[in-house]
Amino acid sequence: MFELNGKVALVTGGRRGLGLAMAAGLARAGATVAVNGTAAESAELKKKMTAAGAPWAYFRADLADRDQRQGLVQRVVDRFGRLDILVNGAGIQYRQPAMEFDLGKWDLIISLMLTAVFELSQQAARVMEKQGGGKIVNIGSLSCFQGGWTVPAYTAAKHGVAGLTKALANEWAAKNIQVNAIAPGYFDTDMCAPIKADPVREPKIRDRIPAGRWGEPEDLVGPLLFLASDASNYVDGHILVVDGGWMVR
Amino acid sequence: MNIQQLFDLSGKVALVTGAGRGLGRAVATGLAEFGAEVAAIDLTADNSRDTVAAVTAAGRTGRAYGCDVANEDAVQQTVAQIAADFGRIDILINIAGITARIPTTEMPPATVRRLTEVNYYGTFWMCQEVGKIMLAQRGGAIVNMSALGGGFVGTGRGNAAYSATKGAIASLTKELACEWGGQGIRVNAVAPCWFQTEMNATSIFSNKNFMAQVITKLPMKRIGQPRELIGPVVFLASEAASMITGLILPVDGGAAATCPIEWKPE
Ligand SMILES: NC(=O)c1ccc[n+]([C@@H]2O[C@H](COP(=O)([O-])OP(=O)(O)OC[C@H]3O[C@@H](n4cnc5c(N)ncnc54)[C@H](O)[C@@H]3O)[C@@H](O)[C@H]2O)c1
Repeated sequence: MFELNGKVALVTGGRRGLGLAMAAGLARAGATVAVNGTAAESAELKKKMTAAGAPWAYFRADLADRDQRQGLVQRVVDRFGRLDILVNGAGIQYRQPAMEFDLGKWDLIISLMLTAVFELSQQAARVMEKQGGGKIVNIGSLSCFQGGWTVPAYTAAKHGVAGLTKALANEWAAKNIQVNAIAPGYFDTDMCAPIKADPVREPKIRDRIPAGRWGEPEDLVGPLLFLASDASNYVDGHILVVDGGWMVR
Repeated sequence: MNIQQLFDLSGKVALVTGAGRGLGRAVATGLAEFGAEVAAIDLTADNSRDTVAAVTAAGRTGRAYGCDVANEDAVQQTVAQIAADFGRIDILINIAGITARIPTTEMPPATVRRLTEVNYYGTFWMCQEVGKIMLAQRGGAIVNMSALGGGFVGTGRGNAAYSATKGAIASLTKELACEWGGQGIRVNAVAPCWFQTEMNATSIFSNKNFMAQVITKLPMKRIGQPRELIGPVVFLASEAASMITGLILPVDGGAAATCPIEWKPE
């Protein structure tokens, strides 16, 4: 029920961090994985994906650039013959007080974290419709629900992704394409390193998490396999919070 | 961890209430298929005969217990008996529940009380008794049964007293997640929309106007089948959900994300 043998998945932002953990998780469950990232293929990526033991390939493209994202799904289909699972994971973070917030950064974040999610979903759904179905999993954040602090573009993009998840779920449900999202809480990755290292903020955050600990990238693999597999065929349009209980406290 | 082990429940003991039929039987069977031993509670032990047979067919130990979950003394005795029989309880799935689709102004007080006692108190007593065992074990996973009407797309469900019990269950789930989170106990709930079970057979499925709305407005254009609850419950009960607690997971073909469906008696 949770196996992905014979499925082809595309993970954007899969070169490192949570994206890489998720790409490797899909591969360990049997999927062929197309990993997308902006920078050159890294040794860590090669090592983790090879260890996972399924066919995979790296597709370099800067998804903030419309020209580069335009043909991405087609490139994957040309290489692997189909696309069953799309994980929209690419994201960046930029902090600045809203009054001074750099407008170039605003455009970049909205383009990469909202517009690209829509465009890739559109590309993928056209393929999935012909195949008779598919799974799209967007990576949200607690910023799908909360305002955050000095991260206005990130929060706006993630709220947008939450809305888009529901809108696309609604339109494509009858085509057997389920669209859901995962909203990770506080996870120990490069993106959160400044907070993790902050002696004042870190214990405050940890104390608020009922599970009493930060998430590890591996904690996202189970939820992703659930949403990417037949186990969740009647779950649609949901933003699945994986946060050790942060949101309920 | 090996990827298959993430969802594997081998060696775990699962207690399922309302296991005699409907969603409870499907879930109890599914848990066994994923490796769990199953203690099946329903109003009478005999109710769960087929469930135990399905658990046994999956190669696991299954035992049936008669217990009215609304009765705290019965819950205490039955949980103690199950703990003695199986040695531990790792997973608690609270599915026992009843409904009464009666307009609020005509609802007899005794019916409101019974709904609350079975659905809400029943869940509370079970969490309380099994919670003690899980706290002593320093670990466990609880999955409660809320419903889409429990405050998610709350209006126009035509089932006010029932929906209130399911909202209470959602609230209890979140509180217990906080209270027990630091001790290795995760508490989550599923919130299904309309599933093909006997509970709904005489009420909503015979209502043509309602079913027409389901088919036109529900994104997936169909109601759920009991086995479609197995994936979500196994997921929440397993290591795969190790960082998830306090979640109310809709299993609803997209209803919560999108569409208002109104229920009116015909
Ligand atoms: N079927 C749906 O569409 C749907 C949707 C949302 C939520 N739910 C919930 O799922 C649960 C199961 O629903 P179902 O459709 O399988 O119902 P069902 O009536 O088919 O099964 C319920 C089971 O619970 C048992 N039970 C009832 N009262 C009990 C008590 N006091 N003590 C012990 N056992 C008791 C019954 O004997 C029966 O075996 C309920 O909590 C219901 O509210 C169902």
